Order: sequence, then C-alpha cells, then structure tokens
Amino acid sequence: MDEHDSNTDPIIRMFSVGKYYGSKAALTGVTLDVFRGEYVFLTGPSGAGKTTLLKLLYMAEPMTEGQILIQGMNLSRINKKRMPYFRRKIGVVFQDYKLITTRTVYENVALVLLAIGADKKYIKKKVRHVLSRVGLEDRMNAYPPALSGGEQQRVAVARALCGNPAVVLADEPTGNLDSASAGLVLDLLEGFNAQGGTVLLATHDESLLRRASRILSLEAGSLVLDTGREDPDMAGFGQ
Amino acid sequence: MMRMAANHFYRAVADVRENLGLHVLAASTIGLIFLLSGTFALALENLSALMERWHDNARIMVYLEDGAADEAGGDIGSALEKIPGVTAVDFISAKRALEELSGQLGAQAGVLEGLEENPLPDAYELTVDLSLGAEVVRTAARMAGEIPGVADVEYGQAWLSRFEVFVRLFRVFALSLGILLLVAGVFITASTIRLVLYNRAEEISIMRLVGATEGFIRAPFYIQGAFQGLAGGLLALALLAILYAAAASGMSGSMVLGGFSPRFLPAWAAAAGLVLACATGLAGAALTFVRPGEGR
Repeated sequence: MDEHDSNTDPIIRMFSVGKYYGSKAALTGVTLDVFRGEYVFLTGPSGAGKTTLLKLLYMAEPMTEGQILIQGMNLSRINKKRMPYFRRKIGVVFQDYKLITTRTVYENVALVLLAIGADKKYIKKKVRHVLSRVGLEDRMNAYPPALSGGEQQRVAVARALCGNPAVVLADEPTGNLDSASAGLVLDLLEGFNAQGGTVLLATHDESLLRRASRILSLEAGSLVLDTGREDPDMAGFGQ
Repeated sequence: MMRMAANHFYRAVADVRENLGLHVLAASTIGLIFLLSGTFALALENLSALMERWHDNARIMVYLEDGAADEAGGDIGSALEKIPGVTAVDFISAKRALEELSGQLGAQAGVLEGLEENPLPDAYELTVDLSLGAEVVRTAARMAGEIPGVADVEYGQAWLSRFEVFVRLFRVFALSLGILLLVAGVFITASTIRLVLYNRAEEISIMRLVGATEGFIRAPFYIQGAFQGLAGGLLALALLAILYAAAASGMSGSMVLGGFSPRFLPAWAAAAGLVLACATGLAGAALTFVRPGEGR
C-alpha cells in the first residue's frame, strides 16, 4: 500500500462504465468513486453485474464504454504488456478460490512473489508471515484438495495479500463457505482494511452487509444504491 | 535475472518429469527427423569429399600401342610432359599394371593366374593441375591422343561432371527434405508443448491473474522445447555415429571407392546440428503461443 496517499483520494474511479455482451447490457452507466481505506460491499441479485464490474476492475474483461481509473491509472490505456504490472497492485479473491491444485499452499501463495522475481529468502519470510496471518502456517505443505473450503479461501486471501496490494477485490468470497469459515475470511479482509487497505467485496448475502462501511447495490447492470462513505458530503452519491 | 532463470528451469524440469512419456516421444520423433537429415548430411559430406578427392587427383590415362614404348623410348613421355597443365607423368608398364591389379584384387587375384599373356597395355598416367580449370583436362587429353604411338586416352572428367551434377541435385533434394523435416519437427514440438499447456491452462490463467508476465509464463515452455530439441539432436547424433561406424568399417579403403575412406560429420557440423535441433524445439514452443486469444 502506498502510505503517501491520503484516504480522501479515490483509489477506484468509474465514469459511465458500460459492458455489453453483444446487445445484452451487463453494466450500464456505472459512475462511482471508491476511496483509499474504504471497505465497500457490492451487492445485488444474481446477474446484477457484480462479477462483471469486478472483472472490469482487474482487467479480466475489457469495458465496452466509459473510463476506469485505479490509482490514477486509466485502464483503457494499459496494454497487454503492462497488464501484469497493473494486476500486481490489486489482490483478487474468487468464490471458487482459484488455487493451483497441483501446487502446495506455500507454492500457491509464493507464486505472486515468484512472478515478480522476488528474492527466495524474502519469499520464504513473506509467505510464512502471510500464512500465519491467515492461520495456515502449519498447512503450508498441504495441497489445496486436502484443505477444507474455508482453509482454501484463506489461502486465496493470503495469496491476494502477499503482494502488498493497495486494493483487494473479492468476488463472493464466502459464497461456498459455512458461516464460521465465512466469518474468518471476512475477519482477514477487515484486518487488511484496518491497516489501510481498500476492499471491494461482491456478495449477494445480505446478512453480511452489516459489516460494510459502505454499500453499493447493482440491479440489472445499473448502480441503484450507494450508501456513501462516512464523509457526509459523499453520502448518497450515485443513487 | 539468474534467480528468475533458475526458477524457469526448475518449472520446466518439473513439467518434463510430469509429462515424461510425452516428452520422450516428441524427443524421439525429433531424433528420427534429425537422424534422417543427418544421414543426408553425412552422405553429402562424403560425396563432396569423394568429389574433391577425384578433383585433386585429376588423372589422364594414356594407353600406348603394342610395342610403342620400346620403339619410341622416352619420346612419348617427353611429349606428354610438355602438354600445358600436366604436372606429373608416370610410366606404368603392362607388367607393373598387372602387378598392381593383382595387389588390388587381393584374395581374388587367382583369377589372373589363368591368363596366358598380359592383356594390359603399357600406359602413362598424367596428373593435371585442375586449378587451371576443367578445360585443361580436355585439352591435355586431346593433345595426348595426337601423339604418335598413343592408342587411347581415358579421363574421368566427363563422368566427374555428371557426378557433380548428381551431387548438386542431391544437395538440393537433401536441403529441401531437411527443411520439410525441420518444419515437421517444429510442429511436433508445438503439439507436445500445446498438450502440456492444456494441462496447465487453469494454472496459467491464475498466473496471469496474479500478475505474472507472459515471459514468466512462457519461459518454462521455451525451455521444454529446447530440451526436446536438444535431446532429439543428441539421440540423432548418437544413432548416426553408430550407423556410421557400422557402415564405415565395411567401406574404408574400398577399391570401389578408389581407396577413399569415409569420414564422419565435422565437429562444427555436429554442433550446428545440435543448435538447429534446439532451435527447432524453441520454434515449436514459440509456435504454441501463436494463437488468437492465447496472449490474454
């Protein structure tokens, strides 16, 4: 995380963003700012566009219209060659964990640091540290299929946090978990947020919304609710 | 940089171990391709050497009429020495010719024992300086034929020209076939790497999501391609050496080849073959990634 930036700076900015699959609109006219250090829940029914919005943010898919800026970088100007360097600034957590089943827990987490050519000693130290944060230091040599769903998701969170991202995007991270495991995963994300990290978490589980500091709601691809950040001037933006 | 390279190497080795059967099959196929290409290269090398040898030893045989050697004495030899381009004149009497033939026939020399008289004529063997051009041989042969007492003149230049044409055609054929085989090698490597890539598809998509560059993702596959090529090249070289050893032992100093001893590929050509095999593997790996949508 870049500690020089104040939490009044928007870390994610979306201007009239739209995404179309053929003639079908998945997102239309989404305009919003997410500020540094915010813990934002993105909610809405299935098919509302939550996953699509996150995919646009981590550049898994290109937007059809509009502009997105993350940490001041205009995503439409990031070419394929620069994309990996951009992705290193964000951590992503998926509902289905997306762990490499043939690699150990340690290797899965270390991959992020290996990819940037980090020193072996640093990788070892950092991965151990992150795994201890998620309570899985003793499972580092296990393979993902040998772990419970909750443990796998904690590995995925560890992987997302390992590269010191400024933002973590989480797409239904508790969708496949029981309430206890879901609580642990959310605690980890809150811990990251408490240290100044920004979290944008998509969920359709309304019982989780009480943990949010700000809620964005999508319906049929449009932003229909923004409870606003704690700054009263911003409350209701996007409604 | 070294750290990253070591990491790529370990990942490549792990991939090869996980897909050993596939890699062995591909390397063997590349080995066979290079064995075939190497056989052609070896044949070309020896045909060229044989041709050079014949060129270097361009000789004209001047056969004399019966008794001409006794009657003309050294006059014919002197006349032959004056022919432009002739560098050496060697008189081979009928007796000496028969002795040499007997020596060359070795164990089969008994066939000559039944002869009532020596059927071979006296002759001169002329050595011609070919650096002056092939035309010198023809002119020298014509001039030798005009000397009184000369019954016949034989030289292999016409045959050598045909042989040169054959070698040239063989070179073109071998080169074309070699290129075709190389292309086949590239596609074989590409198919193997692609299978490994499919097995790794999910892992690769995850690597992209966590910020791995295309270079980081592809490097182990390039190394695997190079491994395959190198292994195939080494296999081909070893098999070629074995085949050569077996063939050369029966051909060395053969009378049919005029005492020519075959030779193996020079070290530089063997090294170039290995580099080419590696390059074939690398090209195959590169081809794997030349697919629409693969880059994302």
